[in-house]
Amino acid sequence: MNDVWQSDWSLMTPEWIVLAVAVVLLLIDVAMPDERSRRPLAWGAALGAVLALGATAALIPAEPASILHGTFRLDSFAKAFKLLLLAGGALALLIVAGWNPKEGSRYGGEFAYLLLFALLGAMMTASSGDLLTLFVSVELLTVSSYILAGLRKTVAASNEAALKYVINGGIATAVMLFGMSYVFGLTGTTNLNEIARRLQETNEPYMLALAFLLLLIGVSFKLAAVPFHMWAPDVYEGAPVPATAFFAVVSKTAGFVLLLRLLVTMFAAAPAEGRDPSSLLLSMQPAIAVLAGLTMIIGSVVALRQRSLKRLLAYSSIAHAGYLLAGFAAMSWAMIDSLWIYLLAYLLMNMGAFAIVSHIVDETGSDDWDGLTGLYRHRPLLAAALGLFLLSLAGIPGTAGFIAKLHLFIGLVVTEPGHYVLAAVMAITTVISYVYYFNLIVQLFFRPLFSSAPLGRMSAGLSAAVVLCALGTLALGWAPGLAYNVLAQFDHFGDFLP
Amino acid sequence: MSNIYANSYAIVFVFLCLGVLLPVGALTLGRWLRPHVPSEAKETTYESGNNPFHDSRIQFQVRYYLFALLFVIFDVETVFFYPWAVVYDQLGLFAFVEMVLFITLLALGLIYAWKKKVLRWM
Amino acid sequence: MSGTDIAFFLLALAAIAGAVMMLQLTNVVHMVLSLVMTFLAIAGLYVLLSAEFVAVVQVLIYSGAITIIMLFAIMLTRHHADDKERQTTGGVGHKAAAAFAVLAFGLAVYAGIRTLDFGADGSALPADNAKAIGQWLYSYYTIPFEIVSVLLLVALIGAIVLAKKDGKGAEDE
Repeated sequence: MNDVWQSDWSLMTPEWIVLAVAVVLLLIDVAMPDERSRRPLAWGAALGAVLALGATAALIPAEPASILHGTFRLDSFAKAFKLLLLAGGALALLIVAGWNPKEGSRYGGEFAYLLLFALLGAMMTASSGDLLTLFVSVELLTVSSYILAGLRKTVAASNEAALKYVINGGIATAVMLFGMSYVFGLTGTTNLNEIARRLQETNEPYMLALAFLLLLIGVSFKLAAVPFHMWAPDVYEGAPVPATAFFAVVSKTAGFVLLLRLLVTMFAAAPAEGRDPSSLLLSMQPAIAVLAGLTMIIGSVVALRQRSLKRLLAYSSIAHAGYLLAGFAAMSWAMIDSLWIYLLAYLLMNMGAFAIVSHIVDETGSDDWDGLTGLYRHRPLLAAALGLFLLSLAGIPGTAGFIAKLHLFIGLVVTEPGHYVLAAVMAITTVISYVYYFNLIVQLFFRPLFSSAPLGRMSAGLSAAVVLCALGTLALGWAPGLAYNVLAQFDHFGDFLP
Repeated sequence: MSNIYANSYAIVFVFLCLGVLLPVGALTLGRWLRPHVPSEAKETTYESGNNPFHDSRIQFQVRYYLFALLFVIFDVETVFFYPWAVVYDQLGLFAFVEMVLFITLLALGLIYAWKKKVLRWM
Repeated sequence: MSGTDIAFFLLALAAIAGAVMMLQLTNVVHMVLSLVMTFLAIAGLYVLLSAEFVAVVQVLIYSGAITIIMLFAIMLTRHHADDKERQTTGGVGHKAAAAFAVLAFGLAVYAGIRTLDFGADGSALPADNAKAIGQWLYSYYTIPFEIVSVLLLVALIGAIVLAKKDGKGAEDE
């Protein structure tokens, strides 16, 4: 019993902050009269996320430690990815603060604190060293996400999005849980490090491979990797734009956190039959590579045909998940570092793009890309910012996207043996993606104005998000050393594996 | 040990069979004994003397659904109380603190439901 | 074949039969009832595994609460069960592919578990289920337990947000 009291609960400070802010906002929301605007609540939530970000940064020098037998673990991996999750959450909350949909909304307050609860789930996922914590945290994230997807209650597409998300998410959870049950059955423990240790002693390579594939499929649903991506475009299109931004960035980051925590920790040294008998993870590389290749190809090719901005960004996010999976499949020694840099760049450019799309959708009431036509004529700065984000998404030198993609690419070719096929697929799909990103840029800058009514002023929240993301994208593009300095603190995540 | 455990459920099984067989047997026996002379008036649904009209399966107020949802959630929460109560005297103060936190969050949900006028009828 | 094996066989049969009937029946109320059969059979399987507490929870939550919520959903919606208009999606090709996938998955799992040895049998489990669960849940698994309370809060808010009737009409109806 004493261990409970002696645990260092201050390691959980960022989580406590997020939980406390969410609860306080809930209480304020129910105490406020109905007709008052809920916008200050979103600002408060964003402030809470920033505070938690500061608390996480303050914890960086702390030694890796865990509370209660690893059910909560604060190692360098947890710290690094919590920084990303919190930054993404704070930017999404800024977009919520600027959210002003045409159909009106009674749920601005709920939006703010449900998003914080989802963020709490994502943070706990990054910090869990136990299957049970991992599972419950992921559920907290996904259940909150289902509700966020359905918050535009008067819009049929939003209801459809919530329903599709629930059904697909439920299937993914079931498949993942089925895989976990075999791992638990073979080891008799839920502690990830202990599982990794005990798996080395088991001699059930077939069963382990089955469990691995089940877990991989379950996580692939969450990442929207092809062929488990069918829900993503509909959900992204139907959900309110700030929620879409949250799913595309924070949920995807949490998905990769889950992938690394689950599969790498447990299976890196597990026995296998086939290519590499000493590591199930390495012998499963071909399966992950196929998943990555398919995701890159389908994501970029289908994006060519989209005219809805939200669907386009959905398919583009699928393609980006493919690049990230390719980086994972490479399993180079700097895999986690390159994934971190890519997710950071992805966060900056996507959040910026979604902030502008949110403004356009709120103003024009549709997310057709006609809304962008000739934007340069009357909002040159806005058009320039969106152009920057699109260039970064395409991976043009001088932007964050280029640096990030370069890292993944190098990871693919420097490993022994090199993954030249994946690298080639990545290069080709990047070129394909130029087509739709540059189409949008042409629409922005070189076409005459589509509608005579100029866009209204951007709200403070959206402007703040756009400015922060634009600065970040440029800074990371011209001075990637900034990100390397942050990464250097984590020392290549040496304490990630037991 | 395992045998004793399984055998104690044999009694449960016997009772289950008895429970199922009793109504089946009684009704079958009744069917054999009673006279069977159906007429149209006898086959109408008994509605305290009123003539039944309309379909019996009508559409209910949507409001009920929220109560059902709240019921499920509080039902799940009750499940957590039982093992807590069983081990409470062994775990001491920390288990108490934990449950206070749990109930606080539960109470927040109730306050939310109350303030959003879910609990009010009409 | 011991009594436990026979009981397992019957319960498993009931669980699968309930699930298949759920898919095949056309009347929604009958579908819910066959689902209850599956839930109860699974509770029986838990008892066979000496997991009494889980079995009781299964009956309480699934056969009780979840079934009630489904019956409510049926009462609240309009549905004219017209057998002729029953719609199915996908052609023969889709169905064949699905059947093949299910069969292949079943065989793959069967090949794995046929010789699998999970070690200790259930007889070593503590006789007092609820107590053991309580001890684990409230000391070792404190953190997941508290996350569950947040999860339940989110579910409560979500249920209210999504199911509540909106608009001015809702207040003075």
